[in-house]
Order: sequence, then C-alpha cells, then structure tokens
Amino acid sequence: MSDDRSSLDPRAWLLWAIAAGLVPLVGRNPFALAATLLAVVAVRVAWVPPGSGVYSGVGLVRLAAAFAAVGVVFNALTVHAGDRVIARVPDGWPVVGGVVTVNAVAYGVVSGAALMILVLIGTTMSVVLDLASLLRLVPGRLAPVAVAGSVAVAFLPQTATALREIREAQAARGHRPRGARDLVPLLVPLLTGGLERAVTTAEALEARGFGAAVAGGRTAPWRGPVAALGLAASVSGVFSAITGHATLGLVALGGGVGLLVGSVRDPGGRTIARRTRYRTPRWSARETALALALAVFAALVLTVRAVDPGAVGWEPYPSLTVPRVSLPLLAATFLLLAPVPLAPPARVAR
Amino acid sequence: MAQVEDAWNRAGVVVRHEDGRVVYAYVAFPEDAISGIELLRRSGIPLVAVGFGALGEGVCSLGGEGCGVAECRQRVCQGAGASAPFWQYFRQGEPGSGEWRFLSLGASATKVRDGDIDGWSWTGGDPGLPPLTLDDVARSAGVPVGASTDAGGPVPTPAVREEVPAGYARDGDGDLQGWLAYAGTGAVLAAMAGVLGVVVVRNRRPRVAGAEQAA
Repeated sequence: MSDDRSSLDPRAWLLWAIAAGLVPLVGRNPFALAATLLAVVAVRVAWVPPGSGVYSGVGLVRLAAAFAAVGVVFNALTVHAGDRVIARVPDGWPVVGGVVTVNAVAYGVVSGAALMILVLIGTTMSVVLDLASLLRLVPGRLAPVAVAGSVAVAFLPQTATALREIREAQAARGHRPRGARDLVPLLVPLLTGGLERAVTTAEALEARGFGAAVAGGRTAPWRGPVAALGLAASVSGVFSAITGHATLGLVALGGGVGLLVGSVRDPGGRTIARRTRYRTPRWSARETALALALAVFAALVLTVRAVDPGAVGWEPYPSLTVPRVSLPLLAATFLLLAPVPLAPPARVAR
Repeated sequence: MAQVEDAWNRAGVVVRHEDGRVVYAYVAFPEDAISGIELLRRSGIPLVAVGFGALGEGVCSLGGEGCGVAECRQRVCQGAGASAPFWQYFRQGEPGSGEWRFLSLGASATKVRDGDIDGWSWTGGDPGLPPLTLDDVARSAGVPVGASTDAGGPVPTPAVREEVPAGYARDGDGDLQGWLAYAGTGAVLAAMAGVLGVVVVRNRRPRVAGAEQAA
C-alpha cells in the first residue's frame, strides 16, 4: 500500500479495528451489533476496492449466512435452556441431548452476527493494511521475530499457489486423482518445493545479514531476564483478567508490557542493525481526529457497559425478551464511520 | 415418607437467592433415581444451564439470578475473589439436620432418590439454607398435608412456591423501555443504512461512467 494521502496510517487502522471490535467482543445486544455491522460494512465498501475479491455483496450475504448457521447450530444444540421449545434431541445423545429452543436459536443468530463482524473487520484490515506496514510498527529489537512471523504467514498462500500449479501440471500430464494413493504425485512435489523455498528464503535472509550482530555492539546481560519476566507478567495478567481478577490482571499486564518495552528498547541504536525506510508513515491531523473519535466511542461503550450492561449485552434466557437499547451508544456508533469521508473517491483494484 | 404414600418417588429442591428469597419445590418422579439437574428441570424453576461435555451441565441462572451464557461458559458465573457468589450445589445430610454438604461433582453427576432434598444457594461460602425435612419442603411448596395421588395416574405436577423476606420489594416487571427509545433506535439504524447506501452508490459511480464512455 502506498503511503500517499489515499491511505491512512497503519496505527490509525489498528485503532479502528480495536474500536469496531469492542461491541461484538463485550456483548450480544442485537441493536448495538446491527449498528456496528452497518458501520463496518460502510467502511469496508468505502475503502476496499470493488475488484479486490473481498467486496462482493453476494459474498457478504453468503458469509453472513454461514456464520449465522454455525452460531445457530452450535448454540441450539449445546444450550438447552429457554421457555420456547421447538424440538427435543434424545437426552441420551452426549452434549447435544435436550430441548432445542427459540431462545438458543436467537442467541445463536446474534452470536453469528458478532462473529461475522469480527471476520469483516479482519478481512478489511488485511486489504487496507499490508504486512510491511505492520512490520514497520514493531520495535527494532523484535524485527527478527517479526520477519520470521511474516515468513510464516506468507507460507500458507505460497503453499496454496504451489499446490494449484502442481495440480495443473499433473493434470496436463493426464493425472486424475481418484483415491488417497493418487495424492502422492501431488504431495511429494509440494513437500520438496516447500523445503526448497524454505532453504532459498533462509539463504536470502542470511545474505542480507538477518539476525547478525552489529560490529562493536554489546547486548546488556539484563535484557534477557527482564524480557522473560515481562512476558511472564503479561501472560499472568491476561489470565488473571480473564478469570475475574481484573485489577490485579491489569496491573500485572501493565507492568509486564512495561518490562517488555524496556527490554527491547535500544536508545543508542548500537546493538542492532539500523533499519531504513523508503517512506516513513505520517501521522497527520486527520489520523489524530480519527483516533480521538475512536477513543470517544471506546470510552462510551465501556461506560455504558459498566452503567447499563443490558444496553451492550442481551440474554434471551430463560425468557425471550426485547433487548434494551442505549441511544447514546447507538448514536456514537456513527464515530466508527470516521474513515469513510477520508476514503479516496473511487478505488478500483489493480 | 410421612407426607404421601403412593407409587411415586419424591424429592425436594430449595433455592436461596442473594436477596433472601427462598423457593421450595416438591417433585414426584417415577424412576428410582434422577440427576440433580433433571430434578431442577422437572421442578419448573426457571433454569439456564450449559453443557461442559463429559463434565455435565453447569447451572448459570436459577429463577432469573445468575450470569449470562457466555460468562457461564468461561467460569460458571464465578466472579473475582474467593468469596464471589455463584450457584453452589448442596445436599442435606440427615433430614432436618441442617448440615448442608457442598457437592463438588456437579448436578449432572449426582443421583437424587426418594426423600432427598437438594439445595441451591447463590453464595460464595455459607449455604445459608435452613434445616428441612421433606415434609417441610412439601408444606412450603404448597402441597396439602396428607395429599395422595392415584398410583396409576400421571406423574403429579411439581409444586413450587417462593417465600420472600419481610419488606422485600420486587423489581418492576421486565426491562421493556418506552416506544420512544425503540423509535430512536430505528431512526439511528435507518440513518446508518442510509450512509451505507450513499457509500455504495458513490463507489459504483466511476465504473458506470466508464461503461457509458465505452458505449
């Protein structure tokens, strides 16, 4: 993605993704989810080029149907609660045995919608952000880890492409797979090709000095233990927060992140290779405005959730009730549309 | 059993809410034994439970008190701290003894037999359940003393009754908001859909113009 004014700073996009994902992550209120879905789809339509393959309206409808179906089936068969029974699965069937209720189906639909919103956010981000722009956000000391990660991420699409090419080549030779044994002529070249690509990538990285120490640079001995301590504190903090010890968890997470940042910082720039950039991302006034709008939205969601949990969440058990609404929250969802006016007038995939 | 003599087995359920309400249920069943969760289901007390595979079902909400399904799936409604309340499952040792034992196996794994009394309490420690005999439960649930049923007839309907503490004020019925709030919601969603429509039209325009030029 080019770094002209037809794009946004990757950090701004990350903030948008976090803010847009808040409602589906913290609640299941159908009204709040509907507003968030409309906002996410609008941003997606505005920014994702029509020919990019992830734009199609029919595709979106299919995606919605698939996620709703998964949510409905999973929920209806695993939650046997509610006052509106529509069917009964024999009690002897493990896990799925019991009553199937309209309540569970309704909750499954909104859970599917929440899942679809998260997937839409993820696929939108995958189009508007490229891997390189994300890698640039990683601190210099963690660059080797980030590069290794990006190589791993790129492995799957490369393998899929290689498999397609091998299949076409074998088909041209008259090969028609009918059973498991016929897969050998496909899998063996795929495996050897993958190994060959891995060796080539490793040689290319080594030739570019990947992971090499800078001459004269010294790594402070305290960095390793401090990084390990920070990582342990961060993981413990997340675990504590998830299991209900929010205050303790946030303190541990904050401390852990602080230790991690301290251990990877390199103020002198002597212990790692200096990274250069062709274009430096610019954080301009419009990114600041966008970040402020998203911060207001996130703060409002969390406040409404603390004051009136029913306005963000919804429980159709044991009785199917009309969900509560919070007009301030719904109105604030317009802030998620902040990237729309910043989109270029017409974007067609190249 | 002193209360009734017929072909059915009977068991009691006592549910103690955080606000002091106590619900008594008196349930008849033809089987020799049923699970604790099945007893709850047959009692008619509003129940929300989720399955945890081979571990059985966990109780999320009883009589409207508890937590949502999503939270229940994570930690069965247990909040922060060792004394955070959740639906704890007890059974009385000797009838009327008041010795309520915590059942850690869960309600799917227990066997309820004739004469048993199951106790459920939204608590973080002390069950707070009174000493009870099955006759006490039957009386509190509203079953007339000495009532009997035809052994060849259908299973008697479970009896359930709630006792509220003195001065207890019930919350208003339902959370339904005024029509104005829902009208506003409709307006906001319509406006959002309008924005989406404008964006879709704007994004399609260049392609249409290009097609006209080509024609």
